[in-house]
Amino acid sequence: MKNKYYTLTCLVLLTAVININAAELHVTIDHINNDNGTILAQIFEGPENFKNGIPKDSAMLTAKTGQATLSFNNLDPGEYVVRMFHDDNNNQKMDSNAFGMPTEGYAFSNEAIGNMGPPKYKDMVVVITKNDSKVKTKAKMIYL
Amino acid sequence: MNRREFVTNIGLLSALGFAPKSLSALNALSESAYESFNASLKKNPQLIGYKNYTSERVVENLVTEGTFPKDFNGCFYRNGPALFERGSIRYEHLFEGDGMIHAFNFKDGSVNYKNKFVKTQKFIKEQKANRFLYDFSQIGITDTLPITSANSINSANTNVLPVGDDIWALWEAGSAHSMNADNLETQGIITLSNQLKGMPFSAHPKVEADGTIWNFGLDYQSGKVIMYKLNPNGALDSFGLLDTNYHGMLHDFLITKNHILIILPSLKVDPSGKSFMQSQKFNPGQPMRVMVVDKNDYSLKATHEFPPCYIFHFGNAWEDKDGAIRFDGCRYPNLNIMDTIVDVMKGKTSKNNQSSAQSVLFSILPNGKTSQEFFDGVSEFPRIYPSKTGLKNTKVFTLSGHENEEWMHSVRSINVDTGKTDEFDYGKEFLVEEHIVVEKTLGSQKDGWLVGTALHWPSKRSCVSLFNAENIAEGPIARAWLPFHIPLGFHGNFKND
Repeated sequence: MKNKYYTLTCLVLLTAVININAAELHVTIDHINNDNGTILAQIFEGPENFKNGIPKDSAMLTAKTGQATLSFNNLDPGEYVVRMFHDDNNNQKMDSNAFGMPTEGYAFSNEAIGNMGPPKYKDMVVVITKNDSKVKTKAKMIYL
Repeated sequence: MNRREFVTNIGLLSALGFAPKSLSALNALSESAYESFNASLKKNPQLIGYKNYTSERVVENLVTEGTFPKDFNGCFYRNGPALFERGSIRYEHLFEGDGMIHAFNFKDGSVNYKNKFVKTQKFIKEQKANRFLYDFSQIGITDTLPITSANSINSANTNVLPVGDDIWALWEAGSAHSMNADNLETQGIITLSNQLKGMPFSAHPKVEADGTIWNFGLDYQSGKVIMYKLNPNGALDSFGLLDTNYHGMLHDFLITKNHILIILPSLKVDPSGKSFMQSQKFNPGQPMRVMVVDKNDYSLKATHEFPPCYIFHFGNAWEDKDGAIRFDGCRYPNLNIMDTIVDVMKGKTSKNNQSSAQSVLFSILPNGKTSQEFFDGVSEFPRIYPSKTGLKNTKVFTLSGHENEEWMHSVRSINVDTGKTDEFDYGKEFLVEEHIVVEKTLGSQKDGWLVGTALHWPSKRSCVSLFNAENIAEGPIARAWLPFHIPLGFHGNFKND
């Protein structure tokens, strides 16, 4: 019984340590070109989750011309990518034209912008280490 | 709302790619093109038509020879690449130069001229930075901006079409730019609908006699073609999509009374190509495909094949009473013309035996059999009486000249029924540009003017000439001279007063 309490105490302490190490990621989004609708964002942990479209968390904020900031909490040390789009008609999906090109603004962490295609993972990735409690990144909204 | 689901289709971003591109190493900066062209220009004055050009001017009451008819009133607009150099960097492909609109206004026998660049977002940004900012052709321009869509590099340099009260500057891979028809100020990119935002609206729309505008655009990555029908004022009527499995350059198309013809030349994309243009390869084993699409519902009715060839420009298409489809185009036996176009940007005027095009009448018979009829002589820049677009035409008007020359020296008509030609040779001191037909009596095909520009390289001046379209051989009725030259351009159209 004593051992059981000891194990439980250790687990609680360990969780506390992990929570202490969990970081926040603040994303400052620039070049928002209108006040309509919402900015919707997803964060992915690691290249496989990004490739497979499995987000760790999501965030949203009301769009505002110019600059806006959103944040993600409780992030363990690791690699993260944030992608977002400006849902300016609030239909909760990224609209595209007849060839599939996004007709609403979009952006990626680390100010990554694709050149004749989507940006590369390595250009979007933000690394959070065990020593980080608050990490900042920027994103530039691109419109057609 | 499920926060994890609401952005799942952000994955659409994978569709961002719009042009094949090799990741292979950049090559050296293109000072070589700059240096070699400008060195060649000193020795070869004919190259003046490809010289970097930045002047925007107005000239009133041009000096004229002969008399312009008092009933020939309207404005002849032309478009073409003009700005090829910034700093000591020169584009290596003619098609990349920033578009400039030239307007010749004819009124009661006098001729006025003005020109302006199309103020695309590319032009505005590069003008402000005083250097090139995009390196689409991978020539080694440094410190560039990312190309996030085709319109990032839309140079609006290929054609100009009067639409309603405006003119539209057109480019193959991007959207149209609207301009003020009087002062040539750029008004912005045309968005036909939200779903068509940023879509390509290519440079050879077909305008029917009632003003209905048809056009197409190709998504190089997916091979999808969009086909548009617009009202005469430029508003969207409808559009349709077609899967072609074709990923190469696609410059022109045709309509008949009932069909749209998407004609896919024998090009394949070589992924090892350094750039989009360099990845375009002629495939001698690949037939030219003609996809026949119903104009009413954009459904594919049939696909026909012709022997391999490359065609930039078509004259016209029509349907016979029995349903046979016939169309003409300026047919190249291969894509060597591209080498000539690239070479001239470096000041090289090497002779290329197989760079000339020939007018061919293609037939698709009701039983599906196909045939080709070749017309003698060199042909390019074909035009017809405009009101015959999609209907049976008798004549096609083309530039012509001699084999193995970089540019055309004469203008002619070919009677597609008899093969009879009517030609005027400007002479070797003139580099002749597209000539277009202006109808005096709509639909008659017997009563029209032919108007076009030419560069007189010894005097470094350009002129605009007016012919009787039914007697070209007698020479121009009248000619107006600019006191300077303008760059050799591509296509234009006439807006009647």
